[in-house]
Amino acid sequence: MAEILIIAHGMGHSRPGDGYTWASLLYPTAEQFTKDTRRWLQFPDGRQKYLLEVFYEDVNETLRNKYSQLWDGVTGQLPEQCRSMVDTCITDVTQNVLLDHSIDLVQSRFVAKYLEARELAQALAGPEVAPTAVPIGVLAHSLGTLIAYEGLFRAADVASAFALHPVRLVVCAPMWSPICKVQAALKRRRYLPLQGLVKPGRVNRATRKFEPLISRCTAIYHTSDPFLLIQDRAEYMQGSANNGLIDEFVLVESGNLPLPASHAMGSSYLTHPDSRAAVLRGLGA
Amino acid sequence: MRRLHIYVVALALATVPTVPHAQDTSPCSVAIPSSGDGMAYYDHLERLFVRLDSAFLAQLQSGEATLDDATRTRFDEARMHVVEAFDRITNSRAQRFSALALFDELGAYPDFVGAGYGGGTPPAALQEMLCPISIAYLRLLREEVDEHGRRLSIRYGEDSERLNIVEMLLNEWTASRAPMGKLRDPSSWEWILRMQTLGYQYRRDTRALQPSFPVFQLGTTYYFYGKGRFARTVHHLGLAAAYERDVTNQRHLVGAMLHIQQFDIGVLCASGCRDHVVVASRNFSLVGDAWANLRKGMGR
Repeated sequence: MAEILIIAHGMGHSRPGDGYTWASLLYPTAEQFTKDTRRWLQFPDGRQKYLLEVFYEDVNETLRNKYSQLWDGVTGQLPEQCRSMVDTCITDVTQNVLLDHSIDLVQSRFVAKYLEARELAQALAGPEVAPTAVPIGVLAHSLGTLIAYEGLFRAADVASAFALHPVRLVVCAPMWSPICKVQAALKRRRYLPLQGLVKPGRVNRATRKFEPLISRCTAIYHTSDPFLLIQDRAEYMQGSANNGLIDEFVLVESGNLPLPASHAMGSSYLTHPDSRAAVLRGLGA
Repeated sequence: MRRLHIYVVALALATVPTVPHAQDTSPCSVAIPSSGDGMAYYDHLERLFVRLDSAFLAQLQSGEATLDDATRTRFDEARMHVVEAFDRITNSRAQRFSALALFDELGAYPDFVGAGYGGGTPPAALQEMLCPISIAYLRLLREEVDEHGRRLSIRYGEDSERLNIVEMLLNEWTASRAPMGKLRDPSSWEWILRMQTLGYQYRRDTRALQPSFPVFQLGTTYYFYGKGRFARTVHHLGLAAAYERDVTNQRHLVGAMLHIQQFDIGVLCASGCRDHVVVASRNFSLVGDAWANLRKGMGR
């Protein structure tokens, strides 16, 4: 039995392969293998989980250079010790949240990974079996939750001619609530303010029924994560402003951790037993 | 000893995980059509469709698969659309035909196959016939996504024009008019609206180089997304009307600026244009970069 996991990291100083470290933290009993462009986890029971990472830090850097005059003008006024941190936060967030072409670029990376996952699923399932027999999970963190949400919407739009392969989405420290408000206030034409928190999908042309691309969505927050303060939690609860995207919202009592550890995946969400269990439950394994 | 050797080898083979190479080998039992083959691509797709269609119709006839009357009517319509779409493709039109438009019609067919089995799983034989069609679709989409990414990297990559905040907002506002939905290729056009202090200018009257004054520019840049040698070499071309206030001689100079890759050059002159001024990028080392890019574009 094989599975596929797509990983979208958050902002900051991410490096290619950080997602694979997450996978090792999430599945400590599994051994990680690499061959050519493929990377997978081998479980003691024989299962395999293939890993696909959506890396977009280089896109942020490229765009930062294109607007270097602007960003240097902004961060050049700041004290040396906080310039780097503010520089990264301002450029990454502003670009990914507000600039259409930035999110288009990152989305195309996500869509490419989703399409790759579907082809891999068919290869793993074999020609005589429906590829949906191979489950696909998506794990995203922080700003990556926006990338995953918008990316899945774009994937549903791009690949809607044929049946979609539903995914299980798990988001740690989702940033949808504040980003949606900012995008709506600035009248950005993005999926989040236009659609709200709904499941993307397509209409089956035979049955005329809506088929969601997200089969299950789990959102997790730590009480020690300061980003919780800028979220409207009601939007993540079932039956309120959440229009059916989130199936389970998990708030984990995580004690007092200082930033950045309290927000990070490796030092917080994947190491705390409750949130780790919620991630595994959300991914279905 | 021999038995132990066999046992060790068997154990080693058993513990080495098998790796499917989705990109290298076909995930289906028959060959996947390749989109670069022109008419052969569509012929191949049509053969796959006819095979699937015959098999599914036989299943419907034998009662193995069933569709209610309303669904059957829609199925017949969808099937006709696919047949008509294939009929529209001819040798002369194959290169220009949008394969995605064909897949838009073709994509309905698996929905009806699924409905024929009550939303359950179709038999393995039908699944095997669906496989090459859906994989061809996924590969075509990946090509589209790759092309989209390539265009975005030309427009926003390291060889593109550096923009100020006014240009960024102007271009972003213009780009935002594009509709949501499918992949949105970036526009070839980019606004130029900048006050640029170019490093040096050559004055014909004094026959000397001197530091330039800020040059105000208004114009557009055009990005070449083609894959030919010209597009790869030039990358982008910007043309802007230019204005400079020559503080030394209290003159108003007007002219034009040309932007090629990272090299900017312009000609400005006062009324009558008897002694024009040539301005160029402040960093002359960029000429070297431009030459390197030129060589790269020429494929050398």
